Amino acid sequence: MMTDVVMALIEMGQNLQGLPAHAKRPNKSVFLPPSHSTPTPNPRTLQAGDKMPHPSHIPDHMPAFPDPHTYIRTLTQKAPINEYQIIREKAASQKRDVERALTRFIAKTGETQSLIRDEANLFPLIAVTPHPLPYLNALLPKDQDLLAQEEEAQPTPSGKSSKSSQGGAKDGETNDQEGETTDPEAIDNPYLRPVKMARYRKKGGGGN
Amino acid sequence: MKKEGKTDVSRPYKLAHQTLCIRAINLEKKSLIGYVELVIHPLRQDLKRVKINSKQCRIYHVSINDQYEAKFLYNDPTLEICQGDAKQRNLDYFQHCHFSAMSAVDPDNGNGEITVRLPPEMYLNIAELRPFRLCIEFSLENPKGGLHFVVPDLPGPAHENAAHVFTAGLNNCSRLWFPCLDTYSEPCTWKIEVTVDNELTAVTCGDLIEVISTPDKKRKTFHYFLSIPTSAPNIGMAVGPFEIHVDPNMHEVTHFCLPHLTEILKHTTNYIHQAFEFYEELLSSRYPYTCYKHVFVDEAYVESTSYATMSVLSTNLLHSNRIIDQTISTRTVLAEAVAKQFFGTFIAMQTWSDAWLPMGISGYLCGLFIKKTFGNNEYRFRISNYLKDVQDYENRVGGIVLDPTKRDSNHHFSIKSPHTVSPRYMEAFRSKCFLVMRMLEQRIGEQLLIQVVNKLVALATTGASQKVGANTWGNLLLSTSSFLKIISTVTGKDISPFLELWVSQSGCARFFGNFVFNRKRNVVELELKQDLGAKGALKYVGPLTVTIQELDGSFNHNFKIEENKTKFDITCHSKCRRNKKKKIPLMTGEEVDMDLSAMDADSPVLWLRVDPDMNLLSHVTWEQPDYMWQYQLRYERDIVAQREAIRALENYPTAGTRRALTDILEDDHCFYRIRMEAAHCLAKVANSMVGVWAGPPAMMTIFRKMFGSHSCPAIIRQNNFSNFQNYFLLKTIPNAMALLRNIHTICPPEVFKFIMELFKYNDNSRNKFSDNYYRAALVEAVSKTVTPAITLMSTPGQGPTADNLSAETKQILEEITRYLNLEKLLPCYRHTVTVSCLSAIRTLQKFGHLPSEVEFFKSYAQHGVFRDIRLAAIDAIVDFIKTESRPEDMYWILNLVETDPDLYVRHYALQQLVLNPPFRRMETSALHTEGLVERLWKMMNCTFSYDSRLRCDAADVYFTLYGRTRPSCLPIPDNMVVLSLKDRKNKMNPAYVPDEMEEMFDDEEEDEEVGMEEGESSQVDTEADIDVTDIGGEEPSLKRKSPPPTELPPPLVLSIGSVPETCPLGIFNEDSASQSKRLKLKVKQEHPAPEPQLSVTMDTSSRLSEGSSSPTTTAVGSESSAPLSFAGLLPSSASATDMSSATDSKAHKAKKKKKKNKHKHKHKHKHDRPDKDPLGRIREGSFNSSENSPSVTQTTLSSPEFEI
Repeated sequence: MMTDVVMALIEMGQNLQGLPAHAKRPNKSVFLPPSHSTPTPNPRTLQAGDKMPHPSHIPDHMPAFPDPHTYIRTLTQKAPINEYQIIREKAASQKRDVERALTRFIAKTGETQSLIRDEANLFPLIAVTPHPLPYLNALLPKDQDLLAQEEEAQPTPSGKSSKSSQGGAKDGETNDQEGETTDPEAIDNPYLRPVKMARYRKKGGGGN
Repeated sequence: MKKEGKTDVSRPYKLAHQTLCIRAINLEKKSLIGYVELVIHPLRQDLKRVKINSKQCRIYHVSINDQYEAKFLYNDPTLEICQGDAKQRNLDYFQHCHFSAMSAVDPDNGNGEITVRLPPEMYLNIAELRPFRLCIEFSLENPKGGLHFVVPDLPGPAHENAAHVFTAGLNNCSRLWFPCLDTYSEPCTWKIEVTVDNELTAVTCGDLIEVISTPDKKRKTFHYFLSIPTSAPNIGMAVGPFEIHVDPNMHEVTHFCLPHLTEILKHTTNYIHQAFEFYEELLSSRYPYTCYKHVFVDEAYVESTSYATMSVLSTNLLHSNRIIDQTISTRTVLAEAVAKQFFGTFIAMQTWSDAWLPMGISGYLCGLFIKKTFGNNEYRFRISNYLKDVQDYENRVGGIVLDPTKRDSNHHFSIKSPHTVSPRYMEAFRSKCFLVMRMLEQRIGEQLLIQVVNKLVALATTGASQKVGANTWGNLLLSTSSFLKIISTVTGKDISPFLELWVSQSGCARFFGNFVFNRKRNVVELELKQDLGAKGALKYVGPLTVTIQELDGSFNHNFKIEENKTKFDITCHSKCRRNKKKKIPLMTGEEVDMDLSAMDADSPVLWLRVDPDMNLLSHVTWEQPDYMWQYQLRYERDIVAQREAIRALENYPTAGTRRALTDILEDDHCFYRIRMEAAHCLAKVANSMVGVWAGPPAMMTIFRKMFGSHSCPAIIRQNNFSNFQNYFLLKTIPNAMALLRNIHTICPPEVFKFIMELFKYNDNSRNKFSDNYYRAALVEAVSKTVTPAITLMSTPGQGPTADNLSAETKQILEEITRYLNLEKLLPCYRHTVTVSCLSAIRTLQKFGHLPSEVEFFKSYAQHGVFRDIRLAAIDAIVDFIKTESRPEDMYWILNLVETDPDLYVRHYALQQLVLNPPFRRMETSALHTEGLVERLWKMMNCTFSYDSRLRCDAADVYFTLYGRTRPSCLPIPDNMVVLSLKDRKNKMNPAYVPDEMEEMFDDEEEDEEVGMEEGESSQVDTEADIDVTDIGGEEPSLKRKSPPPTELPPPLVLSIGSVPETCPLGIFNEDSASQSKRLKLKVKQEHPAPEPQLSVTMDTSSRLSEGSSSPTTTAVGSESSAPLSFAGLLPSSASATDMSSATDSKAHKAKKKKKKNKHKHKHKHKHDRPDKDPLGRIREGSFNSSENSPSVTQTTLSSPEFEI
């Protein structure tokens, strides 16, 4: 017997020993199997293929399987394209669409300039805005493709080892850099030294 | 060794040491305050006056030995060049006045803006020739030149906004920010102290000894000491919230950049130790200084300026490892900056006429570094570029004289002063210096020249280590005569004929020649003529090399070019009949197979070259048949020869030419720059042959073969720029193809489609390099396909409307719009794509495909946009002005030139106006008005008195528009005689101080206050004089200060008697007072209005210290004009304070001296790394043609076995 059932019965306060007796009690009600109804026959003309017989565990009175074509998987599309030309074509137009949608959106929502006066919608250009530090955007560009960035970011350990295997120069440099980070005292550069305190009083901060 | 005599005569004292102390810098207010102290050794017992250079600075007081106040006089004739002549508008007159004004303050003539009279108490001291200290307190507010403040318009404290300040100028402009002897010929040791806010770093010349916090702990003082004698123009400074990066390979090298840029700073500078190693090894002597500093700043005046132990560089040189193109130029700039540390700052020019030596030697050293880093081909390519630039300049603009002591040139400016020279001239001058130095190398041999240079460095190093008394500091100065002497000492050769030919006269030799083969004599008959009539031509007499390539080999022949001799013979070595099997030996020793079917069966000559090693500054027009040029292009290994052949083949549009060019383009053993030139030449040749050519457009097949993907050649591969040669070709070929035209002289539709597909299929997702330059090149290419529109315009002057844009224009605009918009969201490096887009839009406008619209460009030209974009927009605007001639645009750009904060942008705008002028002399234009003349004249006459580059630029523009004579649009001044008689007294340039006045100033003994003329006051004077008219010539001169070299009248100087009435206010309101104050009062009564303008702040302290009672009005004026930002620091309380502080400094200095000795030995070179394969080599591999394409490598052409 299932322990869960046993536990449940005990919880309910039933006596387990009484169960077989209860099952064999004389006046128990019995379910009759349903009477066999005649299935509506399919017109022969509409039948396609042979119906599958029931597997052994399904009683015969269950309805028969439908025609096989209604449930058997059939390949409806062609093999996935892996033709280079088409992939490039798609990638290009996808990229272009994304870019165009993005720039159009920004252009629509922000200030624009136009190349042709009174035709603001034809070729909307996002207006140029001066920046107090214009060189930052120019020198730290954001146009790097994400893929390239990921590739750069991921294989750092392998990349490093391959670089260092290229020559002693790299080794020396990395060592130096490590030395720099771990022990700034090792480098004797006046700009790295701490600021000294004034040792004597000065007047007006200058003229020392 | 050096000639000292000349300068000693004009300057009767020597400078031993100078202290420059900047007590405070206020970035927001753009001001600084400090003092200088000069230790002066008198050389004459009767020294009474000392002249110092200073401009823009306010001088508070001058004291001697902290004991005596000294009187001083300030006058600067350069503030306004032509003061008396309100109606003079011709450039020759300006040029003359400009030069004499500059000479009047030139320290090498013993002049200066400040004249300090030594107090009589010092006379005894001076009679014993004892040194004394001259202390000048000064401040500087909102300088217009010399020192550039970059203060971004952001809220918050300046240091958080990356506000910074740095020295900005070219030659002799230290006087713009501190009083000094602003000449290269007066080196001395330096102590520099700069007190800045805690967040800032001050970088200046010399060793940083220590950084000491002020007692209030809000600021700190940087103490620098420069033990190597250095002249004032080589002193620079930069202050800002810099990020500091110590070079990992050389700890004595420190790099500074603005916040957030450290990462790219590390990458940019990671090779610089190689430059140091290279120069030290080459010169077999140590880097002369103990430290070196790179400071990368925004809005740099030029890409790089070198000062002793430091260079100030443009921040735009920084780049990451994804950038290819910038790497090459940045490395060149940085390497040249290091070379200038040896020659330029450590060893400086003696006078301006010797400037070509340090410039030439540093350029030469840098050239050798380029040769090592980028390969011999790149080196030769650059030489041939320089040569072409110099030839073009001399031919189109005028001669370049390297040493102008003997001859002046015929330019519209004087070449005898660095302040009067046109910036364009300077560019060509620099190239010529380098070329002449390289020619000298070939004349005396590389080894010997290096020995000479080494000797110079060695002598200078010993000289520098001596004390001032030893008189050896002259070894740090290089003059033409000393160079001549040292060359003859080291090499035993006399190069004075060489110098006479190339240095003290201008011009290039211009040859044209041809030859015929005489079969009977088996001789090549050569005819070589010189074109002496051409502008910038020089009559050359001397040796000339001609190289002949025959079937049996290559041979050099040396001819002596003499006057009137034009015919020369070369006896051939080869028999005419040729052996089919035999390979043909080349100059390099290689033997190659050639298809000889194209050549003349009777002649053994394959090709001839004149002056193959560029031993002369020469321009050769050489005639030989097309097949010879083709052989030369295919088989000559010297890239200069290949270049010549490509240029010549443009004129031979034949199938053979086409084949040769195509083969070169495809040949990956060939130097990439040659292949690039071949592509452009091929486009021209194909255009000339358009009628007879059927088949795909030129280069289409090559491009597809090189860059198309394997399965589908029509689609370009994903970008992979790791092969740099291919990268450069990838950028070039579409551009060359865009120049193709079909029979209707429009770009063939398939080429247009091809370029549009490059746009479409560009995919940089797997590239480790940025494609920004490639995309920019594509935009450039598409703009090159544009040809003038054929439209039926109903309203002239209007462009097409939106409805009738052509299909191609729409496609182009689609791409440009997308790129431009994308740039705003994901900007690329240096915004190269935006730059190209702007110029493409201008092209569309110009060819009538778009309505001309200038407001668009104006928005891109405003301050706050990245500099490269602004420059591109300015190009477009200048071009627009040329076509549309609208005065308001012209004034818009002049307004930018006058007011823009970025000095380089101003300079660039003026240069563009010179290169692409709205009109030229004798042309009619709506812009040709009196107003424009006056505006330009005012610019060069007074507006740009603090920036000689802009002043000379303005003069260049004036020259381009009007020539040298009076502009024709001006009315002829008719009644000038009457006026000039009436106002004769005003004719003098008030800033000229005649000698006798100075004598008076000297002789006066009373303790009178000393007035000085400020910039503003002189301008007030001008305003007053403005209605004065004269043409000058007719005036009888009363007394002349300096005899005028031209027919033009010099500014007249008045006799002593007339001084009280005529002298401009402010200069001498006290000098006449030798007699009494009565006179002064009278002057003041006469001119009451300008009085407050003449505020003499500097007098306050002196007056106070001397306790003399001065008019209260002046005192009030002076108080109000003191810079408020330094309220606490002003020495206004009493001079006693300052004296004590100065004494402090003396004691302090003594302590420092000991310190310094300790630091002297710290210089150790830690870069003797063992690797033979340094990092740079890996990076540079592809550039170094000797590695990549060994067969292209140039070998020494003059190897002995070829000599006949």
